[in-house]
Amino acid sequence: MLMNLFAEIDVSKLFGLALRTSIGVQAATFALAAVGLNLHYGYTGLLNFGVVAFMAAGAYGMAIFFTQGWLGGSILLAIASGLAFAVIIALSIGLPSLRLRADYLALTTIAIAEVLRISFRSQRLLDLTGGPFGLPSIEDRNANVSFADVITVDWNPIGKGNYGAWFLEFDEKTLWVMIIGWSLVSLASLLIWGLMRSPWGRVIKAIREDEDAARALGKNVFSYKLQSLIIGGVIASLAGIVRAFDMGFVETQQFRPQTTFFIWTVLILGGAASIWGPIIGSMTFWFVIIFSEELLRQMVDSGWIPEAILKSNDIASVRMILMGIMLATLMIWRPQGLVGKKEEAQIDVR
Amino acid sequence: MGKRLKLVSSFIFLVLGLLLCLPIAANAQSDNELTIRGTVRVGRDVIPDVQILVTDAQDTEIGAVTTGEDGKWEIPIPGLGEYTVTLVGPLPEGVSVKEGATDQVVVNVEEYRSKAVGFQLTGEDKKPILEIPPTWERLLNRMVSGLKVGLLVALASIGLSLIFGVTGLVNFAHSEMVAFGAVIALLLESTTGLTGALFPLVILIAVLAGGGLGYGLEKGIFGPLRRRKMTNISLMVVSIGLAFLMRYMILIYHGAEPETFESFRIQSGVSFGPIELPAKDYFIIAISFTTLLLVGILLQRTKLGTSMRAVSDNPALAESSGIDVNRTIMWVWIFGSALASLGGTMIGLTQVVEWQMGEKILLLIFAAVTLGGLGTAFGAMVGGLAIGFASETSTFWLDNDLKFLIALAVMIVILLVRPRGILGVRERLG
Repeated sequence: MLMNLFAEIDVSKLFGLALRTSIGVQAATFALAAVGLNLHYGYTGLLNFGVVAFMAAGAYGMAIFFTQGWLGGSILLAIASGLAFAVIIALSIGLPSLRLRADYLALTTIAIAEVLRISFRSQRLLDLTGGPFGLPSIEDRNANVSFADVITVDWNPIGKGNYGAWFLEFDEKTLWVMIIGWSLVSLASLLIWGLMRSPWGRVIKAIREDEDAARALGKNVFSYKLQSLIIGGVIASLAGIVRAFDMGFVETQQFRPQTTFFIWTVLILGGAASIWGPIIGSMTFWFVIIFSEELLRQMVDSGWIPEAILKSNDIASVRMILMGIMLATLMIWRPQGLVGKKEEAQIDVR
Repeated sequence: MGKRLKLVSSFIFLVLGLLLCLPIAANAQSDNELTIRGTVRVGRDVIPDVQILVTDAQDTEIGAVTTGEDGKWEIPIPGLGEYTVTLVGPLPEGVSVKEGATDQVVVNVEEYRSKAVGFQLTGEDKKPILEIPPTWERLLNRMVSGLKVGLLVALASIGLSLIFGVTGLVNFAHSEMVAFGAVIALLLESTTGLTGALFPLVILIAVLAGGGLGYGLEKGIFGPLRRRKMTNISLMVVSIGLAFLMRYMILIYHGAEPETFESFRIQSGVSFGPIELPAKDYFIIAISFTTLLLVGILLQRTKLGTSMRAVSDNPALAESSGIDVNRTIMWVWIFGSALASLGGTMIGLTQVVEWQMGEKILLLIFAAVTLGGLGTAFGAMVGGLAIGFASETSTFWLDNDLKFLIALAVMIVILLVRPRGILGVRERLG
């Protein structure tokens, strides 16, 4: 029976798909968002449950600016406006709510993220955000016109064609966005690395360890927290922008609260408060998710798992279940993740 | 932070909020969008104030509207494909779905033009013209159904607030405990045939199952973890993981299809003065109201209730006055989870039972308990009533998809202005 299973499983496809996703654009964007969250949660101790609000702000800020054709519709200005929107979101989350205790900050941030998403989705903003349909409009999408074209086609230095081999074969568009994504991950990680070695970083970490002590030393805790929120938020918004370029459209469905928790899982899996944590977390996360999904799919298809237990169209839900289990068990048994330090990964509420 | 900075920041936030609302308030209607539309009518008479729900092939809600004065409704859809249109109700007295027809219509939108959908309804003994009730009467009806939603949110919220009170845990899995109740009740009804007059038995078993779930969660997960001295923040993250686990288990084993209880399919309305509601709504309001009263009595008058409040106020003091804290916490979990289960079953009765119902109600519950004051059961009741009422009644003026905004806005403002809520006393500043 066991022999039978091994004969049915396409091992090459299993590893190939998992590897492909773990170095793909999705992994890069999740890593980038996790770098931002790492500054919030890992280094500053801010319980930000609204990561997705920053991603949405970046993606929508960029897409609205571009599709409306403001200031001549330049893509660089559009990206800049996406980042600016993220700063505004950081200020509007941070100014009023950074004084709150950690768990209330969590509730406020998740609520603000939902307010943003529901507003974007509203029928009344149809002309600006495309409502439930997103941007670009349905007509543009049918005609294959997107805000991503300038970046992925016009400015693409890679010649048309497919590169790589086996399951790691990417077309020029995907490859280019992958390069952009991982470069941004490296730059953002370098930035955080530098910041954490600076006096600024020491204050940030001191706030995480003991806010009152930092205050007693004359540091303006509120201002430092706000700066952390803005920098991390801008990094997370870049993740939203890269994802928008990859998919070619933005839609409110991409920014449901579950995305926030995906990124939390990535960060905790890799290890909060470590430079490599978000990167290793994201790659491992996607490898594990795709590997188990594909394994289950092959086992269901070959009849190894009977239909009564799991149907093949339910496999997509398994991803979410796995994410839930990973998040809970990591928090219980390995809060420092794969590469984090245990003493830096314990966040408490006084 | 100084008072001035606080004032300035509140002001900035308010302005930003208003700015966000401004374009929403300016109604922009595009004319060449893809929609599903129709007119709900019986014979030649149109029916206003009936809720219509459109879901796509993956059972994601695309939109819900209430028919206008002229019985017309229209819901934009994202693209071509198969959609399910559900007539949620309530239908006026004497009107029902024709025999052989259903309250759900599946449409396949194959080209880029609006698709019209009709429901086959029939009026009792060919009643003459149905009158459209005056505006105040419809507002009154909306307010009564707001009261109903408020009672349900209150029921669902008490457990979360009590559990926070005695353990300090913000339990993100609470909404899945609500969904669990509804799914168990539906499963019971469809497998055991306990319909009609026997339906209260279904509710009872669902409530007991909910209590069992609470027992299991405390005994198997949260109790041991608390004794391992895990921080509440870590436990909160664990509860998020648990919520996803439960939600998608429900999806796999209940299915993506939204379902309704057989005993309470589309019902015709029952009038009570100017108020006209489906018969089941009176039932729901009565049960919820009584339960909330009983909860109040239990907390105020019984020994268990007193110890729950004592542990909530000050666990150390409670322990030293001879209260078994762990036993009390266990009872709070059982009790809170049973109430969540009851709330879920009731919500399933008024709307549909679906795997996403937990996700949909989670933020309403959070809004309710923060408004009332986290940790107090009475706060959760007051907050639940207020949030449910406000969000439901707002649909009289606002789009249906904006009703959650009301609840979230209330929650954010409360957290910023008076973080301890209306009835709370705890210190929440960090």
